[in-house]
Amino acid sequence: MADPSYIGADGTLTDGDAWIGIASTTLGSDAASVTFTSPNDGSSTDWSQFMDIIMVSYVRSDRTPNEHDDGYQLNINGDVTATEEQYGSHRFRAASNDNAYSVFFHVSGNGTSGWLGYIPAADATANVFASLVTTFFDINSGKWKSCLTLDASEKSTLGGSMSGTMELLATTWKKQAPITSIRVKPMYGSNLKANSRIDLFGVLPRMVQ
Amino acid sequence: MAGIEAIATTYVEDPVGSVTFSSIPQTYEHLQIRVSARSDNNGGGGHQVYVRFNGVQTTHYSSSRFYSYTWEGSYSHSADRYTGQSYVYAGGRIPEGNMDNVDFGMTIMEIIDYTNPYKRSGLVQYSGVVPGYNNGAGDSGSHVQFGGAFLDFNTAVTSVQLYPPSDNWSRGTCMSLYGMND
Repeated sequence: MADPSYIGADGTLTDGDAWIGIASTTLGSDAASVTFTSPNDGSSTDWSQFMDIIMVSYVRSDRTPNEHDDGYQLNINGDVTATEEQYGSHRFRAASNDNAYSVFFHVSGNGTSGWLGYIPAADATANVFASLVTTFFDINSGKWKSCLTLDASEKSTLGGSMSGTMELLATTWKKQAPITSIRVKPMYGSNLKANSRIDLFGVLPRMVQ
Repeated sequence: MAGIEAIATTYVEDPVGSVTFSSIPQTYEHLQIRVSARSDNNGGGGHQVYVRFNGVQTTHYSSSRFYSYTWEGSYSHSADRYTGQSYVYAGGRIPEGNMDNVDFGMTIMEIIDYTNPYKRSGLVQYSGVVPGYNNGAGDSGSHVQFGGAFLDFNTAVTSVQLYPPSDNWSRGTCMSLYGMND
């Protein structure tokens, strides 16, 4: 594999930035899912060189009827195998409902997908999107692949259950393969809404003597 | 100048008692440490990452956290605070030796305005671990937390040491230090 362009002939970094913009998608129309895949071409966006990947999402679901919220679903490397506890997550959530609030935690194991957070759905106030920042750690290692997500969204001006949520989540895909693709979609709805945006960044290490 | 620069990465090949980032350049605005780690201590429920600034070992650290966890089928959440300690207690969460050996804890830690000699040295972190089926289908050892800490001295941060409470960092533990600019 050829060296990326930001590595000079003498092996030094010519670009000091540790975060490399990999991809950005803004949906022009509703879409069932968004998938990012490593180009696997030795370029500066090839995922095989990164320590971590950071995914910044600003998304909304079309889930109906009478739904303020939906889940944000993760699949790594296209893995939807129905294996017990294939994906697991621990979610620590604070939710608001008018002047009331609750703290909630939930541990789930799921055979076919991971859970990344709550996103607004059809009955949320128009044009409200959820903000999520997800970090995938040590993506080329032989470890189980895990990510941390911080997310928040204020979903409704009318109140009601889950009208606002904030979460810290840990999610693990219990496979050891390097991450070469990431797919996100609504857990229950049919589509991510138009204007949903997802950006992907690669984080480089710096190995020193 | 780049917005975020990688200063150093340590990838543990042989178990080691601690990882220290020393002689940290005083040329950035803030620091970030990204951790994927586990310890080889013979425990089953995980533990905290301990942190020291500038090699200070006196009882001048305070830390607080709120967190959610599972243990033997019970779920709970809480908050606590530790003072007068010789290390930052709540620096992140790691699995221990009895958890699946490919399960590593995740932590992102930030040290803000670390060059300023007129402020207490502090950090903020968030962290999580999800155990495997062998730990009871997620019923034991799952943990997420958000926390902060400070050293009760006014000093710039020139070194950061991270270590597990007992025994060593396991092979495969990696930690990267980044500098953030305006």
